[in-house]
Amino acid sequence: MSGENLEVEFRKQLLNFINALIALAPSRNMVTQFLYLVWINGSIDYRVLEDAYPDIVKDEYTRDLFGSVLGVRFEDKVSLVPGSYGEQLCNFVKKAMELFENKDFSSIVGSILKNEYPQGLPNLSKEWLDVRIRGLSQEPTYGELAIKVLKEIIKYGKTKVEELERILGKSRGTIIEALKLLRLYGLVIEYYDKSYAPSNEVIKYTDILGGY
Amino acid sequence: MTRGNLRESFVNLLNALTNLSPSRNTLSQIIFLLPEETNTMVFSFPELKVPEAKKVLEVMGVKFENETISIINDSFAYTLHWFIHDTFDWLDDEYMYIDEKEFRNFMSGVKSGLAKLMNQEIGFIPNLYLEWTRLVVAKLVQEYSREKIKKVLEWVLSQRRYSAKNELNLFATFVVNMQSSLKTNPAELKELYEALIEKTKVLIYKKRNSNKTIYRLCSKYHVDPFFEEILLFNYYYYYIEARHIESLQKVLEEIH
Repeated sequence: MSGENLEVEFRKQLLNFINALIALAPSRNMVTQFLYLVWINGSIDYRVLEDAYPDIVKDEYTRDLFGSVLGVRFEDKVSLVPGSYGEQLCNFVKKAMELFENKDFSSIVGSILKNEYPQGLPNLSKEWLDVRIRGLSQEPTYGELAIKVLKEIIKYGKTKVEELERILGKSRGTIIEALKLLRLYGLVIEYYDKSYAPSNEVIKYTDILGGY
Repeated sequence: MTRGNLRESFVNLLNALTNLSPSRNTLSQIIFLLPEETNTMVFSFPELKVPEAKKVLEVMGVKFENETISIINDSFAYTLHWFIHDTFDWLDDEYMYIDEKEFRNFMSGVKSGLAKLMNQEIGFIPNLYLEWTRLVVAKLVQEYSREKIKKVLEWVLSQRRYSAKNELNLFATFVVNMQSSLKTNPAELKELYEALIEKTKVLIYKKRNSNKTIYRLCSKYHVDPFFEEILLFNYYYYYIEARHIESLQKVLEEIH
């Protein structure tokens, strides 16, 4: 193969490779999204997932198949079986998202594939964060409040429930529900002293919240 | 959050895994075959002469040195290298994991489960291990002869399961069985053994205070037909067990 043909063939292979990695991102695929959400939480209440992912959880036949194929335990809490393929897939997806965040990678690959990705490669971590915040904002009961709570937590860096109650003028119960949602979507971290801080991704991409 | 179609999500997932498979993508193939001597890799993959290809691989965690090309631990390339093994096992109904009680378990019926979830025939589910092994065997047949590769695969398929109180030396057993039947020299026997059966042992399970250790026996081209389990009670107990039997059987039939 001549040098020029080698370059053309390499570009083609690279494009297929990049497209495959993008297709696995939790922002783009319901299967990896479900697994990744369970994985980052350790476990999630069955009822929460039944509402959020009825296509996977509601029907017993589908749920059992999904669980046995990917290693998901559907009990009162839904979790991934340690060492299962579902867990390995999440681990791989995490690495792929980190790769797309790497400036050297996106600059080198972005310049090779500039025709296919004229805006540059997508930042899959940022995209996943955007999907979660959008999902959160659309949650009918506490979604709107959760976004407000998140903005306050970002403003103060580390906050307790009592302070949020005072700042937002809402009851303790509703603040706690909003915080539960924020934890579910992996947007805040809870410390041992019951204070809350934004997750690392939220700190990194705070600008996303501007749209909400 | 994403209100997509579950069937479509599975189709996209399997397509992505297929496109990342070393039988379909040169970048994955390069990463899958590392570590390897630089000369061998550049000869097999002239793409490595393209400066951009080298840069892309470097940023993924591939280390280029004068003599060898290898993978940096915990890099993206490292994770992909092992994830391909996991995907091979998963789509060939060989995925093994250890539960909390330290029992060896398999994710059974993956292919049929996926087919049902996607409302497809089982033949629709790609078998990436089989696809890769076909390529490896086709290459080795050219290098060593049809007859030799056939005999090695027949030997692999005749093994199934060993157990013993003393350490098992699979290579010694291979040499004893194959020397007369292959009529070849010890160097070639070793090459064939490493190419298809075992070049390195990779630890896949070991916990502190556990009496169990499990290794994947990795061949040069990742056909990996065996794993080894060592149990310690009052003495060490060794098991060697064959994997991917159906797929290897298919590949063997295709050589005939």
